[in-house]
Amino acid sequence: MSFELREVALVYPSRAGAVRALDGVTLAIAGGERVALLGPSGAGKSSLLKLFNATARPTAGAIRFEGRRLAALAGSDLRAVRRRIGTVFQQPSLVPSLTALQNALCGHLGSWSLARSLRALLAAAPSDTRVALAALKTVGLLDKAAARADELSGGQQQRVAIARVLVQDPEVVLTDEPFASLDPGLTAQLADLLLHVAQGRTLIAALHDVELALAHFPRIVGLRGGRVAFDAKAAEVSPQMLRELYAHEARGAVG
Amino acid sequence: MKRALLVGAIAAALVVCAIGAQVQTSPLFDPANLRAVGAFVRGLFPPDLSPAFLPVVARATLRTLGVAVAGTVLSMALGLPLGILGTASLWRRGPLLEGERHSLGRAALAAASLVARGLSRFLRAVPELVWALFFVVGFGLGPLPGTLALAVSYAGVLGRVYADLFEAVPPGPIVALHASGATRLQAFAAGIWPQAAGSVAAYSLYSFECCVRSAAVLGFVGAGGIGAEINLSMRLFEYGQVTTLLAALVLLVLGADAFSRALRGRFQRNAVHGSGLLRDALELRSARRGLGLVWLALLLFAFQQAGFVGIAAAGLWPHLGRFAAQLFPPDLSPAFLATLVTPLWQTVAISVVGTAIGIALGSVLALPATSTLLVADPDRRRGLPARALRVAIHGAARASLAVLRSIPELVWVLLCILAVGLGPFAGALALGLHTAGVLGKLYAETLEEVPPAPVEELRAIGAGALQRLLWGMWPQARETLASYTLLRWETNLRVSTVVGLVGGGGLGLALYNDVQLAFYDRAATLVLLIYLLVAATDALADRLRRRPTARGIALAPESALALIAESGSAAAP
Amino acid sequence: MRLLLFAALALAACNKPAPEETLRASMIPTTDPGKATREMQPLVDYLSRHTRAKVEMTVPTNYAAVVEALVNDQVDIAHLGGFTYVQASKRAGVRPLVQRERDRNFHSLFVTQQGSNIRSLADLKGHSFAFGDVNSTSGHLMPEYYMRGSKVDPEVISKALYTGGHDATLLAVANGKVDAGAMDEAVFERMTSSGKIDPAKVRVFYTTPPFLDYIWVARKGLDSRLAQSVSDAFLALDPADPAQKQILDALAASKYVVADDADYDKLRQAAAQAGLLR
Repeated sequence: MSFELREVALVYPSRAGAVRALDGVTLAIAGGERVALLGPSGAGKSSLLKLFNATARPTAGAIRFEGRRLAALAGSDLRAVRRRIGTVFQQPSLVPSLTALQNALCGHLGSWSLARSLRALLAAAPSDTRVALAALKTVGLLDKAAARADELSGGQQQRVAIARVLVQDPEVVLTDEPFASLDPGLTAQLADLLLHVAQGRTLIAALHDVELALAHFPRIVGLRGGRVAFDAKAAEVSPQMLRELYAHEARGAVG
Repeated sequence: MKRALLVGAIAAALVVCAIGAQVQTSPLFDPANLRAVGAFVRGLFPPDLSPAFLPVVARATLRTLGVAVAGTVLSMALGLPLGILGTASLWRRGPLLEGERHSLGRAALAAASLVARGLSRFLRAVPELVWALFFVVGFGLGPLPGTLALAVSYAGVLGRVYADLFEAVPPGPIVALHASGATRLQAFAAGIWPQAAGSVAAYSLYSFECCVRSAAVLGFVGAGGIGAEINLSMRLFEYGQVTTLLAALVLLVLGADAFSRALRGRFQRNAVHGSGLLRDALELRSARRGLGLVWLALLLFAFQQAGFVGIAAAGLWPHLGRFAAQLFPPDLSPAFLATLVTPLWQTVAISVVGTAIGIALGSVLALPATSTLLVADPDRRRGLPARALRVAIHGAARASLAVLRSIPELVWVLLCILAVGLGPFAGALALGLHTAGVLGKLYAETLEEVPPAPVEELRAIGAGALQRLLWGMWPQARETLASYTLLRWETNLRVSTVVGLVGGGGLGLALYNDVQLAFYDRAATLVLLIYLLVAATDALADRLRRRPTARGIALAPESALALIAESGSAAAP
Repeated sequence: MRLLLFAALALAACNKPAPEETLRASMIPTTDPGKATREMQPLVDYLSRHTRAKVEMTVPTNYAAVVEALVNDQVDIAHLGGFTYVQASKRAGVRPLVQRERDRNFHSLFVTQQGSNIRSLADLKGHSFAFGDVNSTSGHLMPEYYMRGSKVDPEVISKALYTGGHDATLLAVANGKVDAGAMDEAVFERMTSSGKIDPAKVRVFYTTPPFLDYIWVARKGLDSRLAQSVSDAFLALDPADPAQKQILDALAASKYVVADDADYDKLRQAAAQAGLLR
């Protein structure tokens, strides 16, 4: 399992003209690595994650997963790749009218057949349910299994999203500033949980919290204006590098 | 467990209704029927565009439009007093009435207000085709009865819609006016009307669209216009003429929709700044006097087309009185009532089976018609042939829905009779085809408008398009889908009472026969029965919507109003 | 003010007085031989010439509407079926004018599929049956009368379908949607000879005794001179004149004769017996 990006650019059309979210990004991530993506808002961190989980296609350049170009994949090949990559989003968007258990069960979707997913909507197989309940237990939400997602607090929803990743059991875990909207106490708790969940998997995390990144991630990639500012071991990241990374200097890119 | 019971009960009810509606699959595959349908379809082409026939089409179209315009104007004129009197916040409850002395006069006004509400309900519960059937007999031949049927039926719809709009305005200004000594009518004129006028205009235009669709089918019971010509051409086996007439009908409906949408947009924009109607009236008076005259001339032309020239004819009103007298007392003899059990049951069964067919066929077509599932899905293969195929399937699904929807139920009945023979099954099938067009479009739009973020997360996990539909879109859309379906069933029940007028079984046939034989006391009983049936369904649907488990099924007042207006006709929203 | 004036003018324009005399005629399309009769223009022109009145023809699809229009003085002369005439004479006191020779000697046909085992009225027991419109003489009233007379199982009558028209009845029989049906002989002839229905598919298994059917009538208050001139116009139609032959053909008539109300007593009796006249 490895990611390889070569001269990748991502351009979004917008009313004010095209916006360059990523520009000439070249990067390689090997299996089992733990990489933190740092950078100011709009540096391109979220865009990069979208390329990793194949929900966006690069405008130029190529991203390869195990040597296969992601942009060339479609249909069931694409599903097969996505199944191996789990994502925890900044604002988790659970399906509001489904229960916490059902939302966790969604982690199975990539491996279920259509018939099985239809049946599971009515009544999931006991083995599938066991996996989902175990995941909810890991995140400490077993008692909320039957609650609708829109009745849960923000932190609880974030934990259901993590449970979903556990159910999915992917090789790669991507997280997009998962603690941005939580209070500090919760952040520490969830960070531990996430690191626990990511054990034995590749972890690529876009983070706001520089200390958290330096403490737990051996490799740091700094992004600024859609370009790679630095790519270094955590021990080698100097305060100067960080100051430059976060210096006020808008360059019209979005993340 | 509970869910299994519910599913079982629904399935059993469907089977019972299918028996009631005489559903059979064999006629659908019977070679003789297929030949009849084949001959019909071949007969549709080429359309009859001969110089002798086109003027007939033009006259019929103009007449239908005239009937619709005059019917709308009259229904507004009748609906406004009904609406004002029916406004609870003026006469029955709310801040205006708090602190007032209880008096006989106040009680009388409150009672009158309830009567106005009840009258609106009665007028709109009886289908406009039933009104038309009576008025054809009461007012004689020509377009006048059709116009009056629309006026009466839509007065009921608008009376309710207006009252709801008047009740929905913020009460502050009214209370202030009342406190400064204004009478209630003054409070209405200065406090309610300016706030509600824009919406009143918008909904009136909306009801005009519905009126156009309704006017086109009134001809089936003898009220002239396009419906009458379609009926006649079908009887004469001139299917090429049917094509031309249907094309004229679709064009008329689309034209009316476009006209109304354009004007509605203007009213709604103006409504933001206050009274759209008043502003428009002012504009009309000053800058655009010439244009105003043109509008007035068109209106007069419409009334002339709608048969109002003859309304002053000597003998008409006494005749109407004699006719109305014959309706009373309604025939309530047990022997007659016993004969109504079967048609009543058939009517309910037709509505249920028709809705079920509509749900099934509508869903099948809605999926390819949902752009987010097919054409706008970035995961699909991107080769040109694959993309062209997807666009073609999507377009074909949308077009099928449009065709199903734009042909009125009663025309479908005529076609279904060819396919499966006379009787309730033809009615149910016809209802199902039209309903599929309406529901399929609503389903597709609902699915497209589901919040995308949860669905996108499922995509990232590796869920395919149909899995995203099942686990991401359906759970978010199901309550809206259910409420649309429930509303459509209410509409269908009303329509199923009239499909019998053209051979589709149920109460309509009994009504038609009794009117034909001049047994008006029996016909009056049937109208009462139809009213009770529709009122009971409305009450049942209201309860379903209010169930605590059906959270979210209740619609926003705005859309509920639109659907009230819609339910008065065979229209598609 | 200007608006009001304009409105008044426009209304006045719509209410132009009609020329001297207008004869409002109405014809149900049951006897319609086809396309040409959407307007019946030759007949309209012919009547206009003979009566010196402006003839306005309406072709409604609804019998009840014509009867009520006669009651209501909205129509001056109308072509009615036998039973509709009986209704109209009771409700509106209409005057009989003329009828085709063949209307005095009219029959209903009972038809079934070629291969069916129905050979007589008695065989109808246990089969589905179709009438035409509920107040059609030859499509409902008289067939039912003769069915009752020959003691056909009452179930057949009470469960019968009403197709709404003779053409629909024949189609339903030909396509096997009902086992048998009763209909107007003239429509049967027309549909089988014009090829709308394959004659090989249907078989007539019973023909009723003769009865009276279609008739032209005048409303009660119509000026008797005008009514007389209408009668005279029909009576004068001459098959030897090519133009008039065309009109007669369009009406499926050979010759018109004076109609007499007393001849319809048997229909009255049949209608009362069947509970169709109150």
